[in-house]
Amino acid sequence: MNLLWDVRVSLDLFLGGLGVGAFLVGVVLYYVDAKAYEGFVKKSFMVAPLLVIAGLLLLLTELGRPLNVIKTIYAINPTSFMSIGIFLQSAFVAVALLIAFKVLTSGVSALSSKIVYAGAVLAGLVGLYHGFLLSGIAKEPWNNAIPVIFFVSSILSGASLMVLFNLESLENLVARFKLPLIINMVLTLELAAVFAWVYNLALTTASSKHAYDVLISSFSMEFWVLSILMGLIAPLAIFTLVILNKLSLRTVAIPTFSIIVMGSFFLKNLVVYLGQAV
Amino acid sequence: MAKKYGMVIDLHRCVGCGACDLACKSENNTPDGIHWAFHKTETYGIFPHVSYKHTPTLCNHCEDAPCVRVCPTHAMHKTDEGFVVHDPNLCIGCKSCMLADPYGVIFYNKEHAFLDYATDDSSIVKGGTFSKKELSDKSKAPFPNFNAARGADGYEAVRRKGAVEKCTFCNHRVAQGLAPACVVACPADARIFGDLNDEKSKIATTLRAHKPTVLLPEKGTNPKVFYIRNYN
Ligand code: SF4
Ligand code: SF4
Repeated sequence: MNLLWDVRVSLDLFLGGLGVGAFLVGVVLYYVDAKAYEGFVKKSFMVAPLLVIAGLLLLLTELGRPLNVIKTIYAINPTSFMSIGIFLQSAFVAVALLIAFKVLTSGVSALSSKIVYAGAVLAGLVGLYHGFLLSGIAKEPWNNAIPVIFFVSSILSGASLMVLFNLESLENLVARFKLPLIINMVLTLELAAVFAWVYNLALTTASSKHAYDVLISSFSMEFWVLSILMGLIAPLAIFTLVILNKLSLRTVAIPTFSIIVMGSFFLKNLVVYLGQAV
Repeated sequence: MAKKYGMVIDLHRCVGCGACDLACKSENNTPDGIHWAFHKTETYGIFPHVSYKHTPTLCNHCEDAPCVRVCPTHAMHKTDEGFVVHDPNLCIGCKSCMLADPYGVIFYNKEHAFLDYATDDSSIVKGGTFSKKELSDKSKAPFPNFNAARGADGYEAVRRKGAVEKCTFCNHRVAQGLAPACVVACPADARIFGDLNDEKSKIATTLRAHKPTVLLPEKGTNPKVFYIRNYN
């Protein structure tokens, strides 16, 4: 396959999504009870910009002329999602770094809720942009389901990563939020979005049917096994057993939240590659 | 009315010689593997009743150009006269345009330009073979990857790596009142280039007289390269 965008683009979308998800889960806990979840919120706000920056640095290595990126400041193309996205990501990174600095130097209580709100809005827009970057190019597999799939995947993976970093507050999160139930709802939403995407590919036009054929023939392992079974269905099943009290969350937390994070990468990587394979 | 340039390729006249491909290479000095003007060929039917088709291809200078829409910096842009052209000074080398272009006519320059053709005066057999510098000095085409025409209108004349490039409809020639190099080189006069907005132009009358087709009409790009009749 002659790839124009390789794994660095997938990694940018994955790491950026992790950062956005981590930030947003931190925002939710900040507004719910900043004092009780101080440690969690602090870690979220510190990890988020680092992940987004790591993704952006990887993306820069993919560009033929990375230094010219500075020109996107004045040569704006409003019809290009990439042009808009560069702005959004820069704004988010600036705000997220400011928040991280404040949290690190003065603690969570010193944060103004206005700046957290601004960060949350920007994080949401960046999370959506990741999918629109692809759907704006309008290749058959990069259709309008992708922004939803990517956004939900980012929330899932970012939240899972932060739970992994805060295992000590697991019981508290379960007691207050019924964590497995919420995660199962989001996993179901993601499965529905992926189903809509595949259904649309399989049934719409001749070229989308071709994309579907390539998906199920050349990418079946990445799609069915790594993205769907491992990344979505297995955690859904495990958390269902947890809800039914057949398993203890503490025992399954590390592997289950880890496969959600890995599944997010495999799904995004698959979409990036599939779009170029058709 | 402003001019809007387009091209008609008469497939019935085309002999499939590839002179257009070569003329473009020579005019624009495109490096190995980069073909602003190219062709696709098809063999179809069942032996012994097989047939062959040769379709010259180039950038369609689409009215609704997806490459222009997705470019984050306006490096790929449209001029008032309908040319879709590229400015390497603005290009970040993201390749979004290549992904968005359904015709596969944009190329990525991943090689360093052969700048040693301007400086290297060593020859393999002393007095017997040209050095790189001698060759470029004598031929006045300084080195591969150098496009004098591009340099003349403010572009980067040397193709440094990391940017994309594609057919310009030879807008540097059109600005001087000349036709694109591929049009001039075609021995069968299969290519007609001109102003689509001028009702009396050869291109406009030809388009009215035939039922033109375009490549991938379902993509909705509104190409400005039209094909008439069939290759046979
Ligand atoms: S043919 Fe391709 S490169 Fe040329 S204008 Fe159309 S989309 Fe752009
Ligand atoms: S590669 Fe250059 S011309 Fe193409 S979309 Fe990116 S910046 Fe624009």
